[in-house]
Amino acid sequence: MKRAFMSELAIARSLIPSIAGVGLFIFVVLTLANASDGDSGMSAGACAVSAMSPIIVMNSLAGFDNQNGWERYRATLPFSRKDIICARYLSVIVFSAVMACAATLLSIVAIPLFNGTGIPSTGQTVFEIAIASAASMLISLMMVFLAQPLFFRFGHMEALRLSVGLFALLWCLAIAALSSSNPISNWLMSIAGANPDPTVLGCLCAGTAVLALALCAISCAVSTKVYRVRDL
Amino acid sequence: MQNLLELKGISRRVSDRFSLRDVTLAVEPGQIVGFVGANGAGKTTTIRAALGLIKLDAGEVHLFGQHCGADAPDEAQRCLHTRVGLVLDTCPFPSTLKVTEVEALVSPAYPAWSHGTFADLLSQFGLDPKAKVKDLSRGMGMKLQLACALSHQAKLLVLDEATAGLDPMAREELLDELLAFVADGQHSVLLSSHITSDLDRAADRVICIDNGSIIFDLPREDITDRAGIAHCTQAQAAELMACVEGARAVHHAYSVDVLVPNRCETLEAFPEIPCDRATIDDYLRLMLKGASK
Repeated sequence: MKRAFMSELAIARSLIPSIAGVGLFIFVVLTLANASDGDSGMSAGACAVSAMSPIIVMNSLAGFDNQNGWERYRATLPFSRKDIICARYLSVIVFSAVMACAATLLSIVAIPLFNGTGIPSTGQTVFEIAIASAASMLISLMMVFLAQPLFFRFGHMEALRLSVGLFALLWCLAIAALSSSNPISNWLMSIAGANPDPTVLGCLCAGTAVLALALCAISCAVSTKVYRVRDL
Repeated sequence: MQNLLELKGISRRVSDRFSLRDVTLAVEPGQIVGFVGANGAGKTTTIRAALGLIKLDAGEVHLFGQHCGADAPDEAQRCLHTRVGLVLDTCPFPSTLKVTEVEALVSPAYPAWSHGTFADLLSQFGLDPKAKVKDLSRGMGMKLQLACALSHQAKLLVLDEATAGLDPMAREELLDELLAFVADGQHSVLLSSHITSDLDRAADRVICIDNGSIIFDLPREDITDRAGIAHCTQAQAAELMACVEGARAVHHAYSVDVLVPNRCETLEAFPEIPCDRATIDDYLRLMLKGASK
């Protein structure tokens, strides 16, 4: 699996300049636009970059798979299909984590620039940005894990269409779950409302990470199963 | 000696209109095996089956004497594929990568990868390490694949339509490389192509597939040295077809071409009928389109 991951990294590395460029642009725009909202607004740029990275990297890598017959050629290399799948998941996770860390650091470094708008450079602000960024990445990763088997089963273009439908469905479900009349939403607001306890935020984030990890394992198993039976 | 690649009666239904049917072939050490057939005859599908890219309905694939199909254990496939090099008709690497980045992409797969060999081959083939894959010509893309295939001590090279679209000089260079590759008698090449002139020069055996079935599997000499094309009148053709076992005829407006398996015997028996040597192209054309008696 390590060898397959190294090979995958060679492609992922080539994505860094373009994704980092787009990420930086989005970061600057969203941070400038939202900094006036205080420390929650300050994290908007980092959250956006953290959330978009997993989806972009998944799409980009899947796009390369279907380019010039790379997927078929790769299947003739001495990698098992399980290696290929595991390497893909690991690449997406590592790339997303690197982008989220970079965005968080950038956001923290930028705090002093917005002291004038009333954003304090406190540990609480830094913690909140880090947690928000991590949560964004994890939620986005969960979406990726839901969609990834479609990419391995149907190929990039078909899966892209299907995953848009899937994401729209998830969005509707999330909105319904977080509506004010919903007990889950009420519970979340009661523990992580306007001034959340850092411990509670940390626990929520850890819970999301566990959920994402479980989803990753299930998704990886499903992807391996569908990819093994697929003709290349 | 052990065959490097062996397909035993493989069958696979691909669609309502096309199936591989009971395909059997072997690639012995030291041989360049030409795999010919029309477009859509099943060459690529057979290669995909040999490389474990598609599941089989029946039959077995053996690489280096060991079972290696799509259903073989991961470890066996991993181990056996380290000794196979593949060259496809289009350069399969992501187009935005540079030539040096292609090495980073492929080299982790092979424990025996030699950076020195790869660098030497790039230099020998005139490939710019900084060039992007998308900027490479068809010939250069093929050479990049060949450099990858030759940098990990592959025992068997599989080329799927690799010469298609190459200019004569590039094809010549490729054939020289292949001849050098098999010169030690330990390595082999399976060369799928519909450009049969490449095989006239390089192949030791020629295998023809049509509509998913093997039509013939012969040493190249049996085609280019032994077989002949007799140019006959209608009456001569009828006589020849009646007398010669395995003859096949194609009718033209004013003459008939008859493929005979043994040119010398035919010339002895019918000295009045001119009989030329057959090229692989002639042989293929008459075997696929010609009528038997």
